[in-house]
Amino acid sequence: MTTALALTWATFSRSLTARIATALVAVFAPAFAIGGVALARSGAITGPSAVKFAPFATGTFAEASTLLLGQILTVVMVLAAGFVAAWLFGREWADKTIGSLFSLPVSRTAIAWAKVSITSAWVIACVTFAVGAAALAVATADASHLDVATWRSLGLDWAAATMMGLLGIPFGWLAVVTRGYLGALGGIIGITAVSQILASVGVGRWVPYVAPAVWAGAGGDQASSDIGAAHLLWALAFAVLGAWAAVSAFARARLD
Amino acid sequence: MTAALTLEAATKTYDDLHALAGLSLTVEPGEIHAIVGLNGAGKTTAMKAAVGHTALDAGSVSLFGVLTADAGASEFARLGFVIDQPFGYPELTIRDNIVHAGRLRGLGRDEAAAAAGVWIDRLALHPWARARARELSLGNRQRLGLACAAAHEPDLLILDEPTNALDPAGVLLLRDALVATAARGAGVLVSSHHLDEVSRIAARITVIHAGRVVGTLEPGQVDLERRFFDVVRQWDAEHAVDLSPTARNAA
Repeated sequence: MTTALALTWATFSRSLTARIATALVAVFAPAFAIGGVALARSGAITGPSAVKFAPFATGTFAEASTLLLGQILTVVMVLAAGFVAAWLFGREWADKTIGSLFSLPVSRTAIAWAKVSITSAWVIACVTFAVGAAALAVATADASHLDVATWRSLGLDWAAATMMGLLGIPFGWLAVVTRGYLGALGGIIGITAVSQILASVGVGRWVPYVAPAVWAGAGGDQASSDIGAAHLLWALAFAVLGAWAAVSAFARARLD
Repeated sequence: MTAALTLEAATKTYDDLHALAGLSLTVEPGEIHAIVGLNGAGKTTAMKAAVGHTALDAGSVSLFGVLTADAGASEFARLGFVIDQPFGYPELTIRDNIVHAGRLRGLGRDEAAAAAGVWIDRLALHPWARARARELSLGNRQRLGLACAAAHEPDLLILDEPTNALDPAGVLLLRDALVATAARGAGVLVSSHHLDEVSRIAARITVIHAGRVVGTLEPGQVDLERRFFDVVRQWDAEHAVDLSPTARNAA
């Protein structure tokens, strides 16, 4: 496993996909959350956009920032982690490196688990960084409201975003069965679009790609409180099943 | 002595295309065994079956006397191959690619680093040692692929048309590497369309046609191309009635 991890990390850390995805999550998400709330309160937004930003113009700066952060991170994480997983698995076909991974002392199962492990670790690291950066910004802008409730909201953001990131891993399976990353990218876009529509109207609690986003507030307070442990555990279980499916498909792939 | 590689009555059909039709061959330790044939004859499919890229419909493959279904890390650590596409992640340097390939084949970190240095020397890859694989010409990527396949000093080396993109200097380096590999006791299976080239280094030359072995050529003979076509045409003439249109396409 060490060898497989070393190879996966070497390729992942030099990948343009990984670098763009990392910037998207670690920089764009907290910057947009904090900047969006500041903009909502500035009075500079007019027209239809003002309606969308209205929820972030009320309450404390800390409350609004954590609410917007959760909504952004849950969308961005499934996209970014999906791209990362799709690239890690699909690139073996796209770059024609898959053939060299047969009949090795290091099994393709170990190589596939290394891809899942790297993606999972990356998800946790990015979400932790993004939430930490947002917490720092809130502490700077609204230190008086960095209280238990705010930390609880940040914790919810972290958990929901991590879950959505882990739900990106099953797209690795799609990359394996379609022998490249383009099919998986289509799947990511399609599922994210449908999930966001469902989440925005607060339905689809049993849809794995919806539950964490609704929990983070994408469908409003009532929809968020309707999300229970069972919905979240099912979403997490789906991520694990998807990761297992990706590993299994990668290990059994043939080049006929 | 146990053969390094044994294909026994290997059969593989893609829809109604008979890619392998009962092909049998062996590669003995210390020999370079060349297989030659026209495009679609079954050379690459046989090699892909040997390394698990494709599963046979019937027949068997053994590595070092162990059926591939039962083979494990100890057998795979003794195998190196380049089929279709050389190993090489575009974003990694030549040196890093060889190190990771060596580690995947069972070398320790230090052993793999040392092996990378040796093979960069042996294949004259110095000028590009720190270059990323994506920056290499096709010929140098082929050299890199050989280095990655051979860095762990395998006991069986399988190379599918290893000279097709090499310049004359690269061909000489490859030839020396293969001769040295066989000289230390490893078996080498190599396919090629360059009959003169394989004639110089191979101990055995087997003609593959219509997914099976149809004859042999004597290394060192003159006018090897004419003899090759004699073997193929004779087989076609003798089996014209047996060949279905699809099988004829495969041939």
